Amino acid sequence: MVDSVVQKTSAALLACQRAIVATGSAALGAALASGLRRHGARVIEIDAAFDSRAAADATLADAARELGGADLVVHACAEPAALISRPLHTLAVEDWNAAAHRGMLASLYCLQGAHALLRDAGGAVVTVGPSASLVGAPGLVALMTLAEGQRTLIKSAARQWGRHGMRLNWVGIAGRHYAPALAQAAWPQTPELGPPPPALGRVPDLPTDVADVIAWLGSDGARGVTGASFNLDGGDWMVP
Amino acid sequence: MSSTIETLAESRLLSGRVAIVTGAGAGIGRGIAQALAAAGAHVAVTGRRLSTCDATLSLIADEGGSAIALEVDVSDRAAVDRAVDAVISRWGRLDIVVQNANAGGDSSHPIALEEITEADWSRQARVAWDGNFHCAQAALPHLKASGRGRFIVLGSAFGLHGAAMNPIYSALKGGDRGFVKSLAREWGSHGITVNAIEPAAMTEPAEAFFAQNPAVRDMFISMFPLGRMGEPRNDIGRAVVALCSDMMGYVSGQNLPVDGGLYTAL
Repeated sequence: MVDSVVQKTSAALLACQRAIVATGSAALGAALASGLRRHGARVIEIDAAFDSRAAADATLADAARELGGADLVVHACAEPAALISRPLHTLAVEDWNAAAHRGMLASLYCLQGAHALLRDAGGAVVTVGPSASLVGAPGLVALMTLAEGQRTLIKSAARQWGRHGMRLNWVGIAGRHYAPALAQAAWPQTPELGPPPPALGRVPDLPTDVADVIAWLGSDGARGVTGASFNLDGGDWMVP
Repeated sequence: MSSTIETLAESRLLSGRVAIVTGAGAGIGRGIAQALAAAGAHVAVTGRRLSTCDATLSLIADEGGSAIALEVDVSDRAAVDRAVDAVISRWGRLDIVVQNANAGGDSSHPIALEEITEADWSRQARVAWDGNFHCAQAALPHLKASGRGRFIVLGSAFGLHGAAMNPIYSALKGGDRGFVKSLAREWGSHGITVNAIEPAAMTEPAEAFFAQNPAVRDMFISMFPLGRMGEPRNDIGRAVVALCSDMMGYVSGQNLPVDGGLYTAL
């Protein structure tokens, strides 16, 4: 039985599919891209720090042209200003602007570029964020504001674009995987007094655990799933 | 008789405390300001147009409440600082901030996500998100000094389930959730609670819309388990009073739907 499960999860979920991985972190992008390639996808990695609609449209269109089209867009992006842990009252206005507003606009532009690619034939978008946004994190108010804004934007986009056959979902991952700069952040501890969480005994890694879920979300098997949030924390907070 | 009893009960809850309510010139903000004043708080009624704040002030004065009106655009940090300074100058303390301001009519206009521009985003976000940021930074020293500070953000169920009609507004309200949960963890050591309320209330724009679309009104009202939309002062305002009172002093980091049972997915 276990062998059967392993066999199934190792199957190529994205054979012949074309994926664009747009991230603000080269390490994150490379890890997710390698996992999607393992599932048979042809993948191009691009920098998601879009400063304009035109830049996002052009970059995503170039990537799709190189791939011969696009079926899946994976997006994860936060400005560097959002990735520094510090109390809100010490945050300069310009850093708040960069973390909250520039971050959201870059996400918006990426979604709009994805819409231009996928609106005719349908496809999937997966936005990746820090799972701590579901419970909040001290010192990271701007990032958590951004991340929850992104997660909600995905829901609204799913409602608007479902008629085009577009599915949009959100995946939460460990903060240190989301951005190396967050490795030392003060993440809230689960109020669990039993065996130390996460329940699975480890934090899901990017190229296998996380990429497998994203591959499934991009596959036909997830054709009925949109607007949903998947928190891949290994069974830590067990939300939403 | 019952209203006298209610007024007396309310007046004991926040007696002597000082509150700022943003966006209090109409609708839910006005109802919150009225309820806080009825509960004994001194209230700074703030908004972008002083004339509407003055109207709220008159309603509070009619009930014997204590309030001042201040013209404040929460997207302007200097204006927020001046408002806090004015409150401290007048009453010597600040215990409660209710960040209710949003970009008025912009938040209720349908828009296709693929057509949103930076200007569309900024028009709403500079009020909602920057309002949170500016009010929090300006108020922190005084909320710490209070010993029982309260910071409340007015969210929306749209921030929970998304909204095809208005993706900007729903994203902003979703972001409020991350803001509140994180700031609650950050400010807990100061004895300050940080919460959000997601209200459903009949406001003037909603009444105008429903007057033109009675079938939509009937359909919408039928969704409420309690069979009606909330009333800004008595339903939403009193929930804010409760959150600000000592009775709810151990509640923080929460997003509380005050919506007649409409949204039960939390």
